[in-house]
Order: sequence, then structure tokens, then C-alpha cells
Amino acid sequence: MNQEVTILTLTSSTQLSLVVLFLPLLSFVIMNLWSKNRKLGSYVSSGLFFVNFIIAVFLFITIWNGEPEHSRWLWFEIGSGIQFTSGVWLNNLTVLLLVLVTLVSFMVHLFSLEYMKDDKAYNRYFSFLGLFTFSMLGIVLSDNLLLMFVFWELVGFSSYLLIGFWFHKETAAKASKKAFIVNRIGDLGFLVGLMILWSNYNTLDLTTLISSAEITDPSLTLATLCLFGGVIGKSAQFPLQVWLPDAMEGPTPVSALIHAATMVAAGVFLLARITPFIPIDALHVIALIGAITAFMGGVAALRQFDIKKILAFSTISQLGYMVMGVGASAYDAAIFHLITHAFFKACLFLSAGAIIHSLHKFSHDNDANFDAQDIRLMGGLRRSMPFTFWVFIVSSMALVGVPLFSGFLSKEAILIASLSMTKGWQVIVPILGFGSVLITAFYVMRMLLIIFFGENRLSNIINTSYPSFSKVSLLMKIPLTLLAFSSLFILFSPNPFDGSHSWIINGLSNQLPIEHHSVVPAISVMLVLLGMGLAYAKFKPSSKYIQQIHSEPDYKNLWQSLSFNNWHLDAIYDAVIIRQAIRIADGIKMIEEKLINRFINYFAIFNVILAKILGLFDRYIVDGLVHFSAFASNTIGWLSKNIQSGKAQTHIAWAGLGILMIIIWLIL
Amino acid sequence: MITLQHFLIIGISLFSIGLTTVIIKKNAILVLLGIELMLNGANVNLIGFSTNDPQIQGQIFSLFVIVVAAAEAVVALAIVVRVYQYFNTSNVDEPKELKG
Amino acid sequence: MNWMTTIFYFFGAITVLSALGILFTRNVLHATFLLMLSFFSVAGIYVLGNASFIGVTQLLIYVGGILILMVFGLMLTTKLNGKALVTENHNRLIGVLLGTVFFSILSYIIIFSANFEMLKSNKTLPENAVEFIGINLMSNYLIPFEIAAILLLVALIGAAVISEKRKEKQE
Repeated sequence: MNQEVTILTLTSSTQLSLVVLFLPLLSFVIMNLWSKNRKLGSYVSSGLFFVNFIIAVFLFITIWNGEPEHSRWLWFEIGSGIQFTSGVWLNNLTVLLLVLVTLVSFMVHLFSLEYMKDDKAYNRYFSFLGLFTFSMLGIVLSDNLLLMFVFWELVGFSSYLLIGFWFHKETAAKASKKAFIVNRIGDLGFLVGLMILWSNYNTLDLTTLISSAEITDPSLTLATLCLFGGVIGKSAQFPLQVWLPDAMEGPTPVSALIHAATMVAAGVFLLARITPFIPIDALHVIALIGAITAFMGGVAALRQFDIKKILAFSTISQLGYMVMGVGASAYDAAIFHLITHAFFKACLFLSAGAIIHSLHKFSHDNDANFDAQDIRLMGGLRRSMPFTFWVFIVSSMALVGVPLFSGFLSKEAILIASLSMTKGWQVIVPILGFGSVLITAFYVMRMLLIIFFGENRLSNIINTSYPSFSKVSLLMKIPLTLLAFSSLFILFSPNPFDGSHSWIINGLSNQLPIEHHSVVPAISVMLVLLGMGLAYAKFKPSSKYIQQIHSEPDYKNLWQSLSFNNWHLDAIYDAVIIRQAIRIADGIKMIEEKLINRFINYFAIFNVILAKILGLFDRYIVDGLVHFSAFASNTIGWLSKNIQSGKAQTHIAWAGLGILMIIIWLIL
Repeated sequence: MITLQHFLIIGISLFSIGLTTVIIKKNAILVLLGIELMLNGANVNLIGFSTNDPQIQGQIFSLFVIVVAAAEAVVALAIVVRVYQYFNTSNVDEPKELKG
Repeated sequence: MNWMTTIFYFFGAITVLSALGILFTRNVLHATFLLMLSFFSVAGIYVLGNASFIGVTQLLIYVGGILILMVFGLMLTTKLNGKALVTENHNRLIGVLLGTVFFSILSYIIIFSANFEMLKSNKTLPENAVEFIGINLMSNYLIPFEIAAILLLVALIGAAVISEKRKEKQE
């Protein structure tokens, strides 16, 4: 079943999309070429990203709710007839993600101009950002799974570079390696999925697959689950979510861009792309994994003291929601949540970055050595950083899912969709989904109370008067304001209590819109209020817990230990996989030493004896010939040396003799 | 009647004498004189052949030879002057830096 | 043996003899003036070969240009201290041998072996050779003409660059 590949020519829109794709790469190249000039380089790349964003918006206006545009050309050919294509597929989903990625990248660029100002490797940072954005846009634009896989790997690689940006810190270097390796495990699944798809359908092109795949085909279940393996790695789903908390070793704007807004969302995007041909059994597995991840991430966020770790676990939890949404066959709701989450989580990370930046500067200025990310040392920041406080409040309300904020709309849509799964064991999915709402409300409230309310606790460990922090600069304020504004409901739906008629959902789904429930929002608002109330009761500024929080240990009992250590997953993997791998490696090493090395030793001894014999042969027979020929050429050289006297006239005489010989040869 | 052979004999005499001069003289100026003699020998040949040619291509070609000879003489003399400034001699056998 | 042939032999003799003089004299200055004599008589030979324009060019360029240049070069490259400027010979054996063999082989070919009969034609040469050459130079031979112009320019610049005094080389 060798299908003839149809080539679709470039249209003006797809050409523009290629421009969008390659501008970040241009930025990467420029930043590497002019790595000496700090100011110029970074402003040039920010300018390029701004232009990129404008073009993306233009494309969005052209394509959204219009005809999808598709360009495809022959990529390479193996043997005869096995043709691989590559191309650009612009539909509603693509342009939506295009705008999201370019906007968040641009915001992060603006923020980083200030945040990374004092870093030595300023331009390296911006060049990596360019490389990352290029690869992310590649995932979004590509029209087939193989090309997507290439960019998928590139994204993983640039994420590795950025997590290990401060590679001289050992933890950062380790975290980048961990992220890379864990992602590889997932990508192996992706690759196997690609192979199964190719062997069954002879194509990896998404449009062809969607139109030709038989949804009842059992091998398709296997293939999509393998592809989902890649998603598990990239989107930090259970059981591979262990890399994401460690990835927080990278610079905070990077965490905002890669590990909250875009890269981890690539998995959800992939699911949304392939969702037309995912069989229902696979969807159930996906939903279950998503629900488990949402719950586990939420629980793990309960007992963290590192501000970025809290946000990281909350990201895992929210990604779990999205995957759960896809699994509940509501990919439109999942993408909706992806968009809103990208905005409010980027905003949360960036404002956390602003806090860390100020505290770090404070510790630097006062020669105090403390961890700028430990919320036990914060508190009372509401007064010293009012702007950051309000931005943080807005985006965390969106995260919790309080009405009037964007997160409410998208989360409700997912929860409503999850209610369709009620048969047998599937009921666990909505239960975990609703449970996570409660947990989210609890840990967000805890974080807010500890960071912003009460008294500043820094004076407990260092002897200063009331600390004053530097103001957040304008370059940081612009992205924060824009992103906080995007966390309000108004951008997405005119009705603040009903997300099912949002323009994003209407634009994405080709099925009937999800029916509006009034029960689900009511339950979830109640759960939110309950969680926030519980958190307030425990963490209110006057409570005993807060009074002694600066001396609070990491964990006291089993449950706290479970949460703080992310369900001990790292330890379990260490015991179950890594130790066993090392033991196997040791065994192989022993076999090698005992068996193979001994054989090689004997072989070597045999070789030495042979070599001795050959050496004698060499010395007396081969060398003799060589010496004789050297002697002969030496003599000939000595004889002919006199011709080459180095005098021009002798040369002319020889040339004349040559001409004479030619003449004689001619007349004879 | 002057036959072609007359011209050719004169040409070959000039060429041979020029070649010998180039080879045996030590002074660079005299070597140049020898080269000019050889070029003149060639020119005499050209003129001789063009006496039988209604298109007189030989004459036109000899014009170009004269031009090239002039250019060559100018550059060669410049080189000789430089060599003299550098090695303080105009003998061609003394600068031996060409020898490998 | 008419008068033209006589004049031709006369010029030929002067040409060859003065060229031989260049070969045998040790005085460089004499050699230069002998070359002038040789060029003069070569110009005469050109005129006898129905190439009066080339003859005049020969006088203008060789005698008027190149020879003067040679004399200047001579003056610039010698320390004049009253003594006659002499030069020495080397490579005598190979040079003379080569020259003689060349001359004998080629004159053997010219006189005894080669056949020039087929070159003979009854067509007459152009009436006005200068006009003919001028028109041809500007039409059929335009590209070589232009290239020659460029060559002269390059030689001019090159000579200037080569002989320019460079400070760092002066020790």
C-alpha cells in the first residue's frame, strides 16, 4: 500500500509561518556571532521576537476560523518509493499555539533583559532562548510526526542547555542530565510509536493518518500509547514527572518559558494533534494517568518550602489536568486550559522570579548568605513589594480556579468533560480531578499566606533592621502586567461563569459544544472555598505554625515526608532502577574483566610473539630494500642536484636545451 | 629580390645571439639586452612572413610583440633596480635566495 | 643583385655584427650603444620588408623608449667611479654551444629543409599599410588591442610599485 505522496505548494501564509519559524534561529545565530556585544545583541534578539509575535498575530487573524492551510514537500527518499515528506500545517490549533509561544517568549525576553543583567553569559542565555523557541515553533508547525519528533528532540536538547545554564553549579548540571535522560525514556516510546504507525500506514503525515487510520485497529492502541510515552516524558506525567522539580535549577525566566508555559505543553499539543485517531481504550489510560498526575503533583506541592518547587509541582498537577482533559475526549478544553495555564503560570513564575531577584540582590548587598527561594524566610512581602503581590494574587487565583479568572473557565470545562467517565474503575478520574481542586486551593493559599502576609522573617536569621527591597523595574513590570491581565476571564469568555462558550473551545472543537453544567462549577467553587478556608485556619499570620515557621524542619511525619519528597519517587527509582542498572553494569564489568580481558590478554601475548618474528623479517629484508632504495635515490639526487643551481641563467640554458630537443624531434 | 630566407636567417641569427647573451652575461642589464635581441629576432621573422600575406597579420602581430617587449622591459628594469638596492649588485648570479 | 638587395645585405650585416659585438664586448655601455645600432638596422630591414610602419614604431619604441630606459637602468645600478663599466661572462661553454647549435639547426632547416613555395601568392599587399593596420586594429584586433592597453597599464603600475623605496627594507 504505497501511497503516492502529494506535494502541496507554499501559500503566502505558510511562507509567513516559515519566517516565524526561522526568526528565532536567526536570533540564535546572531547572538552567537556577536557574543561580545551585550547590549546590542540582546536588544536585537528581543526586537526579532517582537517582530515574530506580530507576524504570529497576523497569521492568527488570517487563519483562525478560516480554511486550514497546508504546505508539504518531499523531504527525503529512501530507496525507491519510500518517501518522507515535511511540511507546514496551519489550522486553528497551530495558530493559537503560535501566538502563545511567540507571546510568552517575547515576554520572557523582556523580563530576562533585567533579570539576567548581571550574568556573565548574558548572550549565551539569549541565544539558547532563540534555539528553544525555534524548536518549539517547529513542533507546533510541522505537519508530520517524524519532523515533529526531530523538533521534539531539539526542544529537549535546548531545555537541557537551559536547565544546566549555570553548569558550574553541581545541582544544575545534575538536574539537566536528569531531565535529559528521563525525557529520553519517554522519547523511546515516541520513536516506537512512530515505527508502529509507519509499518501500518506507510506514512507519518498527520492529515493522511487522520483520514486513513482505522480507529478500531488494535495496533493503533499500542501506537498511540507509545506516542503517549513521549508525552509522559515531555509533559512530566506520572511516572516520569521526577525531572520537572529538579529542572527549577535553571534561571527563573527559563522555568517560566519552558517548564511552565511552552515545552511541557508540547506533550498536550501532540495529544491534541493526534486525538482524532486515538482509540477509546488508549484515551481511558491517558485520562487515568492524567488524573493520577494531577493528584500526585498537588499533594507533592503541599509541603514544599522552595517557591519554585511549589510552582513546579503545581505545573505537574495542571499538566495532569490537561492530559486528563484529552483523555476525557475533550481536547478543546485541554488546549483551553493549556493556554490559560501558560499565561497565569508564566506570570506566577516571573513574579516569583522578581521576588527571588530582589531577595538575591538583598543578600548580595548585605553580605548575608541565605537561600533566596525559601519561603520560610519570606513573609510580609505584601508591603515591601506591592506590585508583585497583586500580580501574584491575580495569577494564583487563576491557578486555583476562582470565578472571574481564566483558570476557572478552563478547569471547569475539563471537569465537566471528566464527568463522562463514570463506568466502573473510570470513576476514579473525576474523583481525583475534584480532589485536586481542593488540594490546589489549599497549597496556593498556604503559599500566598506564607510569602506575602505576616511579618518579615528575614530578621530572624540575620541582624538587620527591617529589610528594604529594590523596586521591580519597568522592564519586568510590562510582561508581568500583560500576563496578569491575560489571567482574567475577559480575554477568553464574555461570561465569567461559563467557559463552554469560550471562543477558543468554539474554534477548536468540531463536535457539539459541551453542555453547560451548573452543578460542577458550584461543587468546585465550594471545594476551592473549603481548601482556602482550611489553609487560612492553619497558616493565618497569628497561628502558632507561622510563628515558628522559620525553624520548621523539612518534614516531621510520614505524610509530610511523602509530600516533601514527591512520593519518594526519586528514592524508589534509585532503588529499583538505578541500583539494579548499576548492579547489572557491575556484573557486565566482572564478566568483561574475568573472561574477555583474559582472552584479550592471551591474544595480545600471541600477537607480541608474532610481532617479534615479523620484526626480524622487517629489519633484515624489508629494511634492507628500503635502505638500498634510499641509497640509490640519494646517489641519483646527488647527481642531478647540480642541474638545480638556483641560478636563473642555468635554468634558461636548460629550457633552451629542451626546446632544441623538441625541434630535433620535430624535424626527424 | 629579397627572399623569405633572408629575413629568416637574420631572425635566427639575432635569436641565437640573444640566447647566448642571456645565458653567458653576468650583468642583469645585459641579460635584458639579450632578451630584447631575441624578441627582435622573432619580429624579423614575423615581418618576413607577412611580405607574402595580403592581410599583413604578421605586421600587426609584431606591433603587439613590441608592446609586450616594452612592458616587459619596464618591469624587468624595475626588478633589477630593486635587486640592486637590496643586494647591492646588479649581477644575476649573486642573489642566490632562489636556490632551495 | 639590385640595389634593394644590396641595402638589405648591408643592414643585415650591421644587425648581426653589432649583435655579435654585444656578445663579445665586456663594456656594458658599448653593448648598449651596439644594441642601438642593431635596432636601427633592424628598422631598416622592416622598411625593406614593406613594413615601414613597423620600422618607424621600432625606432620610436625601441630606440626612443626601451634603450633610454636601459641606459637609465644602467646608471641606477652601478657605482660610477671613473672606471669603464665592465661585466664578466660565465656559463660560457653551454651558452655558446647552445647558441651555435640553435643557429646551425634552424638555418639548416630554413635553407635546405623547409619548403616555402606554397606561401608565395600573387596577391598584392595593401596600398596604404598604415591605414590598413589602423582600421584592422580598431576592428578585427580590437580585443588584443585593449588587452595590450591593460597590460601596459599594469606594467606601469607594477613597475612603480616594485621600484618604490620601502623604509623597512633599508638597513
